[in-house]
Amino acid sequence: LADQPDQSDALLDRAFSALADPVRRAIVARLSRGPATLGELAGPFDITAQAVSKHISVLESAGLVWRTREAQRRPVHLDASALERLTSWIDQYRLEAEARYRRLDAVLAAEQTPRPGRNQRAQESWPQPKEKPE
Amino acid sequence: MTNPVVIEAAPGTGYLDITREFDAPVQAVFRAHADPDLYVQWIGPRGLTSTVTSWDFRDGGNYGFEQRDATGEVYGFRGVFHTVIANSLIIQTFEYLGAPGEVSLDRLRSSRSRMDAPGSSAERSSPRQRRSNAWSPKAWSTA
Repeated sequence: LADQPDQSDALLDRAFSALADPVRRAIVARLSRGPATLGELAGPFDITAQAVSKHISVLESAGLVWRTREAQRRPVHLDASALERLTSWIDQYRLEAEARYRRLDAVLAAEQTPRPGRNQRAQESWPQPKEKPE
Repeated sequence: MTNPVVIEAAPGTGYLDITREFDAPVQAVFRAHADPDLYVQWIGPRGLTSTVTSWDFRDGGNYGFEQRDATGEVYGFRGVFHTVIANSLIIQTFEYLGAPGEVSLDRLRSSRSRMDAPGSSAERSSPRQRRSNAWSPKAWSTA
């Protein structure tokens, strides 16, 4: 899946939009402590088991949870690796942003170091469009 | 030690707020965004060489740059500087030519920190960059 960016992106899209709902986030939080049945999941919320079932379907198609097929109770399980994919996507973005601003730090440090011919440039203003009516 | 990057994603919106402080005067941080020779030195990503193809840094001006990787593959980017206010604000569009039509709206604004670097005359500035989906009118409601 990792080799197929389109599919992987589509799954990320579904996962993030699935988690945009507070009830589904609460369900995921509950499932992080262990599998639960629909009835158990509906308990803490003021919603029907049918509504919970809909939420589970959304989470399931986003690849975040899965249900045991055989067992009578059909407990819902959290797919921990799916959550890791989300956090690693966020980390990737964060790491890139951090690296970018460290490079900017280096550029700023080099600019602040007094050097012949460079000092004057530092005083010089870059183009100020507001002052150029044409 | 580097200053932390704070990334916030407001629920229900398609944009990110990135806040980062720099141990440099506001003017210097702004110039690093305004001067193409400086810009290509830090925009990255790592391992790619950036070359500016056009740079008209003023309201309504176009800009473009190319990034070349080790294999010689070239990735192009373009956009328009919508608003440029000295040392204060840059609003610009951004588009990867490999994904035409997917235009993001970036806003960079500086706010002077109340913290002064001890024993230094350098001011700190904390530019705030907002990258948003260009089609999201909500992007501005929480500005």
